[in-house]
Amino acid sequence: MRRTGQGKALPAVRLYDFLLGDGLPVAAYNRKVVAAFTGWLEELTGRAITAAAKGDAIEVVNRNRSLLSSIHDLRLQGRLCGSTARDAIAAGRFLDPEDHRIILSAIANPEAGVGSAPGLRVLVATSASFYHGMLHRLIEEAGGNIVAEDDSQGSRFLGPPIPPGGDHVSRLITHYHEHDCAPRQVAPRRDAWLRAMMTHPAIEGVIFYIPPDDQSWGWRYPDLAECARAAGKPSLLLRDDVLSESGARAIRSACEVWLGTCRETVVS
Amino acid sequence: MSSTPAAQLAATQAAREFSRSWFQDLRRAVIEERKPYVLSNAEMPHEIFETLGLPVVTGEWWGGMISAKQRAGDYLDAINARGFHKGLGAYNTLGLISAIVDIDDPPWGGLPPPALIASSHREQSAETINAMVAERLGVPYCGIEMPAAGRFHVRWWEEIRCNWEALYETERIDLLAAQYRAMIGAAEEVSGRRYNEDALRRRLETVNAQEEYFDEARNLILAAKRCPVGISEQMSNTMTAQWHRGSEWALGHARAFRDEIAARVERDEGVVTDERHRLMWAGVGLWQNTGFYRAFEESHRAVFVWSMYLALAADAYIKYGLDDPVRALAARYLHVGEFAHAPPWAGAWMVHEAKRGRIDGCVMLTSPGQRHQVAGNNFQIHALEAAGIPVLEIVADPNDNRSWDEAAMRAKVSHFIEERLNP
Repeated sequence: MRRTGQGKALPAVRLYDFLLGDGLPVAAYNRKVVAAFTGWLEELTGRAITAAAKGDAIEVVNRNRSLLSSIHDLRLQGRLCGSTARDAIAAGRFLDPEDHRIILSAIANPEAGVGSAPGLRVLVATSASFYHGMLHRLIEEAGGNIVAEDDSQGSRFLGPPIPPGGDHVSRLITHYHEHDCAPRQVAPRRDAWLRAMMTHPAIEGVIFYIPPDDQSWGWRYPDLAECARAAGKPSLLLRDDVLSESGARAIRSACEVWLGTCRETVVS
Repeated sequence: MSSTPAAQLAATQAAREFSRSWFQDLRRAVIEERKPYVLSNAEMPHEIFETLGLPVVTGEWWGGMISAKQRAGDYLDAINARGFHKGLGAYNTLGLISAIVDIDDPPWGGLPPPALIASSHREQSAETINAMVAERLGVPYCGIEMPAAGRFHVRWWEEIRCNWEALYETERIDLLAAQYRAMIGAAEEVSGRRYNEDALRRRLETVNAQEEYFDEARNLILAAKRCPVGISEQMSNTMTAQWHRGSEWALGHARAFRDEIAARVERDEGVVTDERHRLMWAGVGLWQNTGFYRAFEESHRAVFVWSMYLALAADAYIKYGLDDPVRALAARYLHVGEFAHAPPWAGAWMVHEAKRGRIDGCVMLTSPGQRHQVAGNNFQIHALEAAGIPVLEIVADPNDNRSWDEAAMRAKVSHFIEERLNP
């Protein structure tokens, strides 16, 4: 392929094969993967990544993790609308952590009154990735408010603050191994957060959003639906695609009916 | 003078009878004597379990058997009624889910409860469904994490038998071998026996001998003037032995299969006497309709000569240098599924095989429920078409016959043969 214009060549693509399974062999392999990745970054940038720099980086992102925790609490209290929260959280996927902190600080301030939302407090379990806020906005229009979502572009972004102690590489490896919510995360760790949220007293209903292209998440649905039922939480299964016009219409209609029923139940 | 064989291979009937009686014996031992067995997916080192005295039922085999008996729909309807949606793939899961749902009059009495479930985590949902079924049955689960390849030796079949340590990268082999050793501990607890490395080495030596017969059989089929045996029989003979690989029965069966093919070639017998089109079948087998492969022999004198099953037995399983048999097994499973589906390995290999077999065209099965496999299909199509081999892609579930349209599929393949393969 011929290059046009001036500029630095893109670096070669590198595989970062961090595994989420259990056991000492996987842990040893992950250490090698992280070490090799670190070496590659050092070569690419021409700078050594010191232990102090790693510690500083963890602290910078930990401050954002603390803000995310505050935002999570505000959402559960119904003091922040889901679409605003999602937009702010998901921006961290491409913003520098310092810039992201400005946005998170703005909505984490309980006095700011950003996007107050009185709607029924809904938890979303989903096979989709919320790189958009369509479902959040649609549910708000229907009278609900997504206060937590099992997605790395929402409530699961970055995970909880990384605790102090130990060498920094081990802290990072342990954190991402334990808290990553990727589809390949192993069952007990993957579903622990979701199961805990279903029993949280602030949650008034659970929406399972599984668009038609799903080929694997659906294996989890019956057990998780049973978990919601056991927790006494009404649930709704949505199988349409919110990104299509007809799908959005069907979802809005289903949500309006379901939210109405949920409200009646809460009132009675 | 060329002729058409009068009947199926004797080996085909023997394989069918062996499967049935082996399963009945297993079922009786599990139910009446409470003997343990392992339910495992295909890409796992069954030999380890076998040397510990633990028989293995391969989930894909059992799912294929259910499908061939036209009972997949019964199981899939039953799990759909329990809240599992219809878009979840059946190929890797049908055998497994049959262990947690009951249907009336299940094939061969149904799958008895396993003592251990084991699976490699190649496909995205593998951990989810295997762990879920194990939890529902209350049995232990051994999951094996699969590291991805960091480098790509395209002509892998030239290196795989002797140079596997370099081909597969030592660190990746280390990881898989270490996980297998941890799994041995779990299997020892289930079986009550101790692992014996010499026994495993002997078993793998027998596997090598078995696959050498399959290599000869494959070479005979590809080189013959006319295809001596269709792929349905190739598949059933190969895979019945593969699911019991390394056993004396499997070794003898592979030899008998090779001998029968050699005799047919010697007698110049072909599936179609006046063979006109030689086809390859890409992708997994159409287990819900194994008669489909033969549908074009009379009408178009077109015969399916090649599928990945016999070729993989020949090319992907033989490993020489068994000083550490667990490492040899690890090397086998780092790629065995990817060779047939993922770029760049699958396309290059299929072109190589197609050229050897004078293949005129390829029918490629795309199963929407197997994204991890079909993601590479476009690359395979490109490789084959670039080599002058036309490809027809058909979309269907290999196991679930509920939406199969026989007439439409026949018309599609017929049109392909008539439009793209006719000179």
